[in-house]
Amino acid sequence: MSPSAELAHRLLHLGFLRCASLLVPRRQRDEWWREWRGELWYVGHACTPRGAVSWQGQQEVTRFCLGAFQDALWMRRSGRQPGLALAAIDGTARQCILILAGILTASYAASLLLPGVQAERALWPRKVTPNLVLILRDGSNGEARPTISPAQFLRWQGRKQRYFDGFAFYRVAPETIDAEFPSGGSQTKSAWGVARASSNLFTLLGLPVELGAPDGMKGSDLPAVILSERLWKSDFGAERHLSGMIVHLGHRAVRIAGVAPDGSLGLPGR
Amino acid sequence: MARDAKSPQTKLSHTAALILQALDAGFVYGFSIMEMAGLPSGTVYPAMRRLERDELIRSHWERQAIADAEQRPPRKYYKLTASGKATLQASRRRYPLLERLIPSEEVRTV
Repeated sequence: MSPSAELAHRLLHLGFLRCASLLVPRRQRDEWWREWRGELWYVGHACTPRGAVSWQGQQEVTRFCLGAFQDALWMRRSGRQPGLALAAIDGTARQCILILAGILTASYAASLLLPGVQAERALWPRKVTPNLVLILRDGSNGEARPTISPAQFLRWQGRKQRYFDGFAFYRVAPETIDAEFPSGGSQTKSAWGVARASSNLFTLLGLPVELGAPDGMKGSDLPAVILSERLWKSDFGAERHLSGMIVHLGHRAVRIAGVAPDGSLGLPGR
Repeated sequence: MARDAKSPQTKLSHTAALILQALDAGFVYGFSIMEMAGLPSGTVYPAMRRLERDELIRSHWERQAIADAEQRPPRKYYKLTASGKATLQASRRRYPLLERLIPSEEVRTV
Protein backbone atom coordinates (compact mmCIF):
# COMPACT_ATOMS: atom_id res chain seq x y z
CA MET A 1 0.00 0.00 0.00
CA SER A 2 1.36 3.42 -0.94
CA PRO A 3 2.06 6.01 1.78
CA SER A 4 -0.68 8.24 0.38
CA ALA A 5 -3.23 5.40 0.56
CA GLU A 6 -2.10 4.68 4.11
CA LEU A 7 -2.52 8.32 5.05
CA ALA A 8 -5.96 8.38 3.41
CA HIS A 9 -6.97 5.34 5.43
CA ARG A 10 -5.71 6.89 8.62
CA LEU A 11 -7.64 10.09 7.98
CA LEU A 12 -10.73 8.08 7.09
CA HIS A 13 -10.51 6.10 10.32
CA LEU A 14 -10.01 9.21 12.41
CA GLY A 15 -12.97 10.77 10.60
CA PHE A 16 -15.13 7.76 11.48
CA LEU A 17 -14.15 7.98 15.12
CA ARG A 18 -14.72 11.73 15.21
CA CYS A 19 -18.20 11.30 13.73
CA ALA A 20 -18.95 8.54 16.22
CA SER A 21 -17.75 10.75 19.08
CA LEU A 22 -20.27 13.42 18.04
CA LEU A 23 -23.03 10.92 18.78
CA VAL A 24 -21.78 10.45 22.33
CA PRO A 25 -23.39 12.70 24.97
CA ARG A 26 -21.31 15.84 25.37
CA ARG A 27 -20.04 15.19 28.91
CA GLN A 28 -18.56 11.82 27.92
CA ARG A 29 -17.48 12.77 24.42
CA ASP A 30 -13.86 13.74 25.13
CA GLU A 31 -13.27 10.61 27.20
CA TRP A 32 -14.53 8.34 24.43
CA TRP A 33 -12.75 10.22 21.67
CA ARG A 34 -9.50 9.89 23.60
CA GLU A 35 -9.98 6.18 24.24
CA TRP A 36 -10.97 5.37 20.64
CA ARG A 37 -8.09 7.39 19.24
CA GLY A 38 -5.63 5.62 21.51
CA GLU A 39 -7.09 2.23 20.70
CA LEU A 40 -6.99 3.01 16.99
CA TRP A 41 -3.23 3.31 17.20
CA TYR A 42 -2.95 -0.12 18.83
CA VAL A 43 -5.45 -1.72 16.49
CA GLY A 44 -3.58 -0.26 13.52
CA HIS A 45 -0.25 -1.56 14.75
CA ALA A 46 -1.64 -4.99 15.48
CA CYS A 47 -3.52 -5.39 12.21
CA THR A 48 -1.09 -3.70 9.82
CA PRO A 49 2.50 -4.17 10.90
CA ARG A 50 4.79 -1.32 9.94
CA GLY A 51 6.00 -1.52 6.36
CA ALA A 52 3.58 -4.30 5.50
CA VAL A 53 1.00 -4.05 2.72
CA SER A 54 -2.32 -5.21 4.08
CA TRP A 55 -5.74 -4.34 2.77
CA GLN A 56 -7.14 -6.95 5.07
CA GLY A 57 -5.54 -5.20 8.01
CA GLN A 58 -7.09 -1.91 6.96
CA GLN A 59 -10.46 -3.62 6.79
CA GLU A 60 -9.99 -4.81 10.36
CA VAL A 61 -9.20 -1.27 11.46
CA THR A 62 -12.25 0.03 9.60
CA ARG A 63 -14.37 -2.60 11.34
CA PHE A 64 -13.05 -1.37 14.67
CA CYS A 65 -13.97 2.21 13.73
CA LEU A 66 -17.47 1.23 12.67
CA GLY A 67 -17.88 -0.52 16.01
CA ALA A 68 -17.37 2.90 17.59
CA PHE A 69 -20.76 3.92 16.21
CA GLN A 70 -22.34 1.06 18.13
CA ASP A 71 -20.53 2.24 21.24
CA ALA A 72 -21.79 5.76 20.68
CA LEU A 73 -25.38 4.69 20.12
CA TRP A 74 -25.25 2.59 23.25
CA MET A 75 -23.96 5.62 25.14
CA ARG A 76 -26.79 7.74 23.84
CA ARG A 77 -29.37 5.21 24.92
CA SER A 78 -27.88 4.59 28.33
CA GLY A 79 -27.25 8.32 28.78
CA ARG A 80 -30.97 9.02 28.59
CA GLN A 81 -32.06 6.40 31.08
CA PRO A 82 -30.34 7.86 34.17
CA GLY A 83 -31.84 11.26 33.36
CA LEU A 84 -35.34 9.86 33.35
CA ALA A 85 -34.71 7.85 36.46
CA LEU A 86 -33.33 10.93 38.18
CA ALA A 87 -36.42 12.91 37.31
CA ALA A 88 -38.69 10.13 38.51
CA ILE A 89 -36.91 9.52 41.77
CA ASP A 90 -35.28 12.76 42.78
CA GLY A 91 -37.68 15.24 41.14
CA THR A 92 -39.08 17.84 43.46
CA ALA A 93 -42.60 19.21 43.28
CA ARG A 94 -41.20 22.34 41.64
CA GLN A 95 -39.50 20.29 38.96
CA CYS A 96 -42.72 18.39 38.29
CA ILE A 97 -44.66 21.63 37.96
CA LEU A 98 -42.05 23.03 35.60
CA ILE A 99 -42.13 19.88 33.47
CA LEU A 100 -45.93 19.94 33.38
CA ALA A 101 -45.91 23.64 32.50
CA GLY A 102 -43.47 22.90 29.69
CA ILE A 103 -45.66 20.10 28.37
CA LEU A 104 -48.75 22.32 28.53
CA THR A 105 -46.95 25.16 26.75
CA ALA A 106 -45.69 22.81 24.05
CA SER A 107 -49.20 21.34 23.65
CA TYR A 108 -50.69 24.81 23.35
CA ALA A 109 -48.09 25.82 20.76
CA ALA A 110 -48.73 22.59 18.84
CA SER A 111 -52.50 23.18 18.92
CA LEU A 112 -51.98 26.60 17.31
CA LEU A 113 -50.35 24.87 14.37
CA LEU A 114 -53.43 22.74 13.68
CA PRO A 115 -55.27 23.66 10.49
CA GLY A 116 -58.00 26.25 10.97
CA VAL A 117 -57.15 27.18 14.54
CA GLN A 118 -55.59 30.53 13.65
CA ALA A 119 -58.55 31.39 11.41
CA GLU A 120 -60.95 30.52 14.20
CA ARG A 121 -59.03 32.65 16.67
CA ALA A 122 -59.00 35.61 14.30
CA LEU A 123 -62.69 35.25 13.52
CA TRP A 124 -64.07 36.71 16.71
CA PRO A 125 -63.08 39.62 18.90
CA ARG A 126 -61.83 38.84 22.37
CA LYS A 127 -65.04 39.98 24.06
CA VAL A 128 -67.76 38.16 22.22
CA THR A 129 -71.31 39.29 22.76
CA PRO A 130 -73.30 36.40 24.26
CA ASN A 131 -75.64 34.52 21.93
CA LEU A 132 -74.01 35.98 18.84
CA VAL A 133 -74.17 33.90 15.67
CA LEU A 134 -72.12 34.43 12.53
CA ILE A 135 -74.00 33.15 9.51
CA LEU A 136 -71.89 32.10 6.53
CA ARG A 137 -72.77 29.95 3.59
CA ASP A 138 -71.36 26.45 3.94
CA GLY A 139 -67.88 26.28 2.45
CA SER A 140 -67.12 29.98 2.84
CA ASN A 141 -63.52 30.67 3.73
CA GLY A 142 -63.70 34.33 4.61
CA GLU A 143 -62.95 35.66 1.15
CA ALA A 144 -64.53 38.83 -0.24
CA ARG A 145 -67.22 36.88 -2.08
CA PRO A 146 -70.66 37.43 -0.41
CA THR A 147 -72.02 34.31 1.15
CA ILE A 148 -75.57 35.45 2.01
CA SER A 149 -77.43 37.31 -0.71
CA PRO A 150 -78.97 40.75 0.08
CA ALA A 151 -82.41 39.33 -0.78
CA GLN A 152 -81.99 36.57 1.78
CA PHE A 153 -80.83 39.08 4.37
CA LEU A 154 -83.83 41.30 3.75
CA ARG A 155 -86.13 38.29 3.91
CA TRP A 156 -84.81 37.34 7.34
CA GLN A 157 -85.00 40.93 8.53
CA GLY A 158 -88.58 41.35 7.36
CA ARG A 159 -89.94 38.20 8.93
CA LYS A 160 -92.53 38.71 11.64
CA GLN A 161 -91.57 35.52 13.36
CA ARG A 162 -88.07 36.37 14.59
CA TYR A 163 -85.49 33.93 15.75
CA PHE A 164 -82.95 36.66 16.36
CA ASP A 165 -83.04 39.96 18.25
CA GLY A 166 -81.10 41.71 15.54
CA PHE A 167 -79.41 41.27 12.17
CA ALA A 168 -76.36 42.97 10.78
CA PHE A 169 -74.52 42.29 7.59
CA TYR A 170 -70.91 42.69 6.61
CA ARG A 171 -69.28 42.33 3.21
CA VAL A 172 -65.72 42.95 2.11
CA ALA A 173 -65.39 44.65 -1.30
CA PRO A 174 -63.36 42.49 -3.67
CA GLU A 175 -61.10 45.35 -4.81
CA THR A 176 -59.69 48.53 -3.36
CA ILE A 177 -61.50 51.82 -3.88
CA ASP A 178 -59.87 55.20 -4.55
CA ALA A 179 -60.42 57.56 -1.67
CA GLU A 180 -59.95 61.32 -1.71
CA PHE A 181 -59.80 63.25 1.54
CA PRO A 182 -58.41 66.48 2.98
CA SER A 183 -55.09 66.03 4.68
CA GLY A 184 -52.45 68.62 5.55
CA GLY A 185 -54.37 71.44 3.86
CA SER A 186 -54.76 69.67 0.51
CA GLN A 187 -56.75 66.84 -1.02
CA THR A 188 -54.99 63.49 -0.82
CA LYS A 189 -55.73 60.32 -2.76
CA SER A 190 -55.26 56.78 -1.55
CA ALA A 191 -56.54 53.26 -2.32
CA TRP A 192 -58.59 51.79 0.50
CA GLY A 193 -59.84 48.30 1.16
CA VAL A 194 -63.48 48.70 2.03
CA ALA A 195 -66.09 46.54 3.71
CA ARG A 196 -69.76 47.43 3.62
CA ALA A 197 -71.85 46.84 6.71
CA SER A 198 -75.22 47.68 8.11
CA SER A 199 -75.23 50.66 10.47
CA ASN A 200 -76.03 48.45 13.47
CA LEU A 201 -73.00 46.14 13.03
CA PHE A 202 -70.82 47.71 15.68
CA THR A 203 -73.65 48.09 18.15
CA LEU A 204 -74.80 44.52 17.61
CA LEU A 205 -71.32 43.13 18.06
CA GLY A 206 -70.59 45.42 20.97
CA LEU A 207 -67.43 46.67 19.30
CA PRO A 208 -65.68 49.84 20.42
CA VAL A 209 -65.49 52.85 18.11
CA GLU A 210 -63.01 55.55 19.06
CA LEU A 211 -63.18 59.26 18.19
CA GLY A 212 -66.87 59.01 17.42
CA ALA A 213 -69.84 56.87 18.29
CA PRO A 214 -71.89 54.28 16.44
CA ASP A 215 -74.95 56.43 17.05
CA GLY A 216 -73.21 59.23 15.18
CA MET A 217 -73.81 57.30 12.00
CA LYS A 218 -77.45 58.27 12.23
CA GLY A 219 -78.85 61.70 11.54
CA SER A 220 -77.01 62.31 8.29
CA ASP A 221 -77.83 61.58 4.69
CA LEU A 222 -74.27 60.55 3.96
CA PRO A 223 -73.13 56.98 4.57
CA ALA A 224 -70.85 56.69 7.59
CA VAL A 225 -67.37 55.20 7.37
CA ILE A 226 -65.38 53.78 10.24
CA LEU A 227 -61.64 53.74 9.68
CA SER A 228 -59.32 51.04 10.83
CA GLU A 229 -56.70 52.20 13.30
CA ARG A 230 -53.92 51.39 10.83
CA LEU A 231 -55.52 53.51 8.08
CA TRP A 232 -56.22 56.31 10.53
CA LYS A 233 -52.53 56.45 11.43
CA SER A 234 -51.13 56.00 7.92
CA ASP A 235 -53.46 58.31 5.94
CA PHE A 236 -54.62 60.80 8.56
CA GLY A 237 -51.53 60.98 10.74
CA ALA A 238 -53.59 59.89 13.77
CA GLU A 239 -55.58 63.14 13.57
CA ARG A 240 -58.02 63.16 16.49
CA HIS A 241 -60.53 65.67 15.11
CA LEU A 242 -61.77 63.92 12.01
CA SER A 243 -65.19 62.73 13.14
CA GLY A 244 -67.68 64.13 10.63
CA MET A 245 -65.04 64.76 7.95
CA ILE A 246 -66.33 64.24 4.40
CA VAL A 247 -64.36 61.79 2.30
CA HIS A 248 -64.92 60.74 -1.32
CA LEU A 249 -64.89 56.98 -1.77
CA GLY A 250 -64.95 56.34 -5.49
CA HIS A 251 -67.81 58.55 -6.66
CA ARG A 252 -69.59 58.69 -3.30
CA ALA A 253 -69.22 61.13 -0.48
CA VAL A 254 -69.11 59.51 2.95
CA ARG A 255 -68.68 60.84 6.46
CA ILE A 256 -66.09 59.56 8.94
CA ALA A 257 -67.88 58.29 12.03
CA GLY A 258 -64.94 56.96 14.06
CA VAL A 259 -61.97 54.65 14.27
CA ALA A 260 -62.09 50.94 15.10
CA PRO A 261 -59.09 49.82 17.19
CA ASP A 262 -56.88 47.25 15.44
CA GLY A 263 -57.89 43.68 16.18
CA SER A 264 -61.31 44.64 17.53
CA LEU A 265 -63.40 43.63 14.53
CA GLY A 266 -62.32 40.03 14.12
CA LEU A 267 -64.62 39.32 11.17
CA PRO A 268 -63.62 37.42 8.04
CA GLY A 269 -61.74 39.38 5.38
CA ARG A 270 -59.14 42.10 5.76
CA MET B 1 -27.89 -20.62 49.25
CA ALA B 2 -30.49 -18.46 47.60
CA ARG B 3 -29.10 -15.71 45.40
CA ASP B 4 -30.21 -12.13 45.70
CA ALA B 5 -32.33 -11.37 42.62
CA LYS B 6 -30.62 -7.98 42.26
CA SER B 7 -27.08 -9.23 42.61
CA PRO B 8 -24.87 -8.78 39.52
CA GLN B 9 -24.17 -12.50 39.40
CA THR B 10 -27.64 -13.27 38.18
CA LYS B 11 -27.54 -10.56 35.49
CA LEU B 12 -24.11 -11.13 34.02
CA SER B 13 -24.20 -12.07 30.35
CA HIS B 14 -21.72 -14.42 28.73
CA THR B 15 -20.04 -11.44 27.03
CA ALA B 16 -19.60 -9.64 30.32
CA ALA B 17 -18.30 -12.79 31.96
CA LEU B 18 -15.85 -13.23 29.09
CA ILE B 19 -14.54 -9.71 29.60
CA LEU B 20 -14.10 -10.28 33.33
CA GLN B 21 -12.26 -13.49 32.56
CA ALA B 22 -9.99 -11.68 30.08
CA LEU B 23 -9.22 -9.03 32.66
CA ASP B 24 -8.46 -11.65 35.24
CA ALA B 25 -6.16 -13.34 32.76
CA GLY B 26 -4.19 -10.11 32.45
CA PHE B 27 -5.59 -8.54 29.30
CA VAL B 28 -6.11 -5.14 30.78
CA TYR B 29 -6.93 -2.74 27.97
CA GLY B 30 -9.75 -2.57 25.41
CA PHE B 31 -8.06 -3.84 22.29
CA SER B 32 -6.36 -6.78 24.00
CA ILE B 33 -9.70 -7.83 25.47
CA MET B 34 -11.28 -7.59 22.03
CA GLU B 35 -8.58 -9.75 20.57
CA MET B 36 -8.69 -12.34 23.31
CA ALA B 37 -12.45 -12.56 23.65
CA GLY B 38 -12.99 -12.40 19.91
CA LEU B 39 -15.63 -9.74 20.38
CA PRO B 40 -16.13 -6.66 18.16
CA SER B 41 -15.43 -3.16 19.41
CA GLY B 42 -19.09 -2.21 19.40
CA THR B 43 -19.70 -4.93 21.96
CA VAL B 44 -16.64 -4.77 24.18
CA TYR B 45 -16.54 -1.08 25.08
CA PRO B 46 -20.21 -0.69 26.03
CA ALA B 47 -19.97 -3.91 28.03
CA MET B 48 -16.94 -2.55 29.86
CA ARG B 49 -18.77 0.70 30.60
CA ARG B 50 -21.64 -1.29 32.07
CA LEU B 51 -19.25 -3.34 34.19
CA GLU B 52 -17.59 -0.14 35.35
CA ARG B 53 -20.95 1.40 36.16
CA ASP B 54 -21.82 -1.70 38.21
CA GLU B 55 -18.43 -1.35 39.95
CA LEU B 56 -17.23 -4.75 38.84
CA ILE B 57 -14.23 -3.18 37.11
CA ARG B 58 -12.30 0.06 37.50
CA SER B 59 -10.35 2.02 34.91
CA HIS B 60 -7.50 4.48 34.93
CA TRP B 61 -5.48 6.28 32.29
CA GLU B 62 -1.84 5.45 31.92
CA ARG B 63 0.48 8.33 32.74
CA GLN B 64 1.33 10.40 29.68
CA ALA B 65 5.04 10.29 30.47
CA ILE B 66 5.13 6.50 30.26
CA ALA B 67 3.34 6.52 26.90
CA ASP B 68 5.58 9.32 25.60
CA ALA B 69 8.67 7.39 26.58
CA GLU B 70 7.48 4.46 24.50
CA GLN B 71 6.26 6.74 21.66
CA ARG B 72 2.68 5.58 21.73
CA PRO B 73 -0.65 6.99 22.92
CA PRO B 74 -1.59 6.44 26.56
CA ARG B 75 -3.81 3.49 27.29
CA LYS B 76 -6.82 3.17 29.48
CA TYR B 77 -6.29 0.23 31.76
CA TYR B 78 -9.04 -1.81 33.37
CA LYS B 79 -8.87 -3.80 36.57
CA LEU B 80 -11.22 -6.13 38.41
CA THR B 81 -12.64 -4.86 41.69
CA ALA B 82 -13.23 -7.15 44.67
CA SER B 83 -16.87 -7.30 43.70
CA GLY B 84 -15.85 -8.11 40.13
CA LYS B 85 -13.67 -10.98 41.29
CA ALA B 86 -16.55 -12.41 43.32
CA THR B 87 -18.86 -12.06 40.36
CA LEU B 88 -16.33 -13.76 38.10
CA GLN B 89 -16.12 -16.69 40.49
CA ALA B 90 -19.88 -17.04 40.34
CA SER B 91 -19.85 -16.71 36.57
CA ARG B 92 -17.28 -19.48 36.24
CA ARG B 93 -19.76 -21.78 37.93
CA ARG B 94 -22.46 -20.62 35.56
CA TYR B 95 -20.23 -20.75 32.45
CA PRO B 96 -17.84 -23.68 33.01
CA LEU B 97 -16.07 -23.16 29.66
CA LEU B 98 -15.00 -19.65 30.56
CA GLU B 99 -11.59 -20.62 31.87
CA ARG B 100 -10.96 -22.87 28.90
CA LEU B 101 -11.79 -20.07 26.47
CA ILE B 102 -9.35 -17.67 28.13
CA PRO B 103 -7.00 -19.57 30.41
CA SER B 104 -5.10 -17.51 32.89
CA GLU B 105 -1.81 -19.09 31.89
CA GLU B 106 -2.11 -17.69 28.40
CA VAL B 107 -1.16 -14.25 29.58
CA ARG B 108 2.25 -15.51 30.59
CA THR B 109 3.01 -16.74 27.11
CA VAL B 110 1.97 -13.50 25.29
